[in-house]
Amino acid sequence: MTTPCRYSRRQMLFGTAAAALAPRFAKAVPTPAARVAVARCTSYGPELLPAMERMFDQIGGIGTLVRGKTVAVKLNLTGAPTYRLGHAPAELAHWTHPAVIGAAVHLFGKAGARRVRLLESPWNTAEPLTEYMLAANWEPRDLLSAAGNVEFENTNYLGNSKKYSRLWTPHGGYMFRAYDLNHSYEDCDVFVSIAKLKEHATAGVTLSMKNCFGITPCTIYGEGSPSDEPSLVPKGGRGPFHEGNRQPSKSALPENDPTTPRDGGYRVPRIVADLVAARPIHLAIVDGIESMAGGEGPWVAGTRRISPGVLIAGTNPVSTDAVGMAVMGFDPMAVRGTPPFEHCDSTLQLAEGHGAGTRDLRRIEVAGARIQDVVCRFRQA
Amino acid sequence: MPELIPFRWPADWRDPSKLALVENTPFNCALIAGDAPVEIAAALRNRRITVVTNKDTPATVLSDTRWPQIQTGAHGQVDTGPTGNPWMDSNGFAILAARAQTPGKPVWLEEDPPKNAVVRPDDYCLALADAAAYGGHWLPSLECPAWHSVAGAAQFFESHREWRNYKPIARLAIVSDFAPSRRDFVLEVLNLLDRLGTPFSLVTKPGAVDSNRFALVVNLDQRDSSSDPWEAANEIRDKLGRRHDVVRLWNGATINAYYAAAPNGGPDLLQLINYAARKSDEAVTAGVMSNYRSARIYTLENSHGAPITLRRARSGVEMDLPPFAIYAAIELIR
Repeated sequence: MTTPCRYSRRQMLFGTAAAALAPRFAKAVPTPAARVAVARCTSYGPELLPAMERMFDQIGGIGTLVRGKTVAVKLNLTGAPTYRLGHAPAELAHWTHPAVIGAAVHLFGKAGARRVRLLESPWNTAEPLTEYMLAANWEPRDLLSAAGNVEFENTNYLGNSKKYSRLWTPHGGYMFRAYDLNHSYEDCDVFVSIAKLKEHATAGVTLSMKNCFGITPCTIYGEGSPSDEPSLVPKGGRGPFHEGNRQPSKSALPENDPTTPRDGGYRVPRIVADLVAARPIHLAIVDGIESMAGGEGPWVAGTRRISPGVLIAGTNPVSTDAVGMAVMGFDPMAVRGTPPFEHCDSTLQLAEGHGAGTRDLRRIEVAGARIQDVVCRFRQA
Repeated sequence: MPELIPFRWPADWRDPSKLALVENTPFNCALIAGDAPVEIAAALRNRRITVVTNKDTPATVLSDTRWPQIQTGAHGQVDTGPTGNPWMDSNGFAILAARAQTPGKPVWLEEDPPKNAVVRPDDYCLALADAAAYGGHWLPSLECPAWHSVAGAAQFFESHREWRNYKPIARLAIVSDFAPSRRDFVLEVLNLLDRLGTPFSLVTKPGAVDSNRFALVVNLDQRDSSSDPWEAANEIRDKLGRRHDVVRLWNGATINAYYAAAPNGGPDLLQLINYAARKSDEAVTAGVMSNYRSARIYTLENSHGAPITLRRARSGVEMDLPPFAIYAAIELIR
């Protein structure tokens, strides 16, 4: 099986935007900044939908973004559906809550989206996303009925296409010049990341950008991917991205420099920064209503549940994540060696280096609730 | 005649006084070697213990069973199978198959720990629970180093003997006549379905399937018995779909669930066997896809049971389980 390149659409996307995305290479161009909306929201009940609708208005409305468009939405369903933090359902700790997904989908439909496609690359399986959700005791029909034309796709393998899409990282990327992904990340007009407000054992924080680590198919980049061609179904997780102990299947491009540190704290933030440059996020939504502190999932020792009671949304993922970090009690300008990046580089700094956006709160207008009024210090929670 | 609760009399034991070990236990049937001394058989009968040999057991004796355990690798690490979860050796599927082939006939299991294995007392109780949960009887030897613990576990199951006749609650029916030419294939598919957390009911005659009860009926006798059982099991699981799950476990990677119903109505029963045979730090949650009003949990340590809170979930009810080392049973009342 071959994996042809399909990058004409990418060339179209980046041909015009390349200059603006290149401050790492052209220092005179400032990184983009965009308004970020913050809302106090303490439950997934009736208050959620109006809060999200108000936030979308505060960031300029989503009508022009989604009307008549195919909207691809990356969820965060990390780990297996059989994992829980204590007895808490996954959506109350480490998964984006279905009510948040449903509210967003409903509002996309209301704003005129032609199609909403819900995407995730669930752990080590090619089973339909709906099956994965059922295993967590979710009801996928709730999401299907939230708007007119909702689809699901498991993007951990080839999925519904005959070939992978090659998405190029502007200016060569930190780690890879391009990533071969499920077609859904190219066959869309708008890309949305619905993430969870939480820390990450390897990358410091999991927000809208780190959520995109999971857009990569394990058939190519996973532990069990064959050396030459992608496997038909995923085998294993994304350990090679963390450890650099092997290259992806040869159908994809190898990493730029195999002599760089084989350390997850170096590699993962760079891969994430590459991915969000290759597959730009148009709308970032961070579910911080219920969450967990200490890591990204129950498999991390010492993790615990917390209830920040906050939602964050913005059209620039770097700025949105910067506000998210501030809400978590961290300095978004933090660099390696300082919390929460004690053992890793800052994904925000690296994405900023790609020209994807600013993490400087002085340049970010925050609408809705003030950060100091909703701050939830994760390290003290 | 009371149901026989069997044990093995060690072949090289010649001292009848060892029979004291059976006092105040539910064991009432000794399996002895065919050449056992006459005085041993007589001593056993004097104590009103039924004596049988391998040639005249009134039960289906499964001898190709496995020692129930979590498989560990060469250096003691937990081995994982194709599901990604720790690989469990269990005999539940084989017991259900034997019960389906000869309804009403007791099923006995004769396995011993693997040679050179480090076996803890709880591992022997696990062997007993693994058989009893599915309606069978493990044959412990009187020389078992954890005899008293095993006898205590046997007493627990004897005090709930009605559970042995419960029938599986499942949305999948597997049809097979277990003909010798395909028996190994069918049994391995059943074993792997168990590993995939896919409960099944067994039917030995195609015409006997009540299709209204099931979401999927699979006749394994129509399959190529030289095909890969793992692929067959996965295909069946995928075809059935998780919408037809009847039970789900969270953080229960070392636990097998057996969900069953009383034959003539009454409470349903969710039995949980922990193949790690030790209490875990994990908070295990169990969910059943039906609604119940109340529930009671029994463990080997608490034969009388205690109420357990039911929490309504998107589908059915969930229960936050207290830690248990080997076995728990939850009686579910509508």
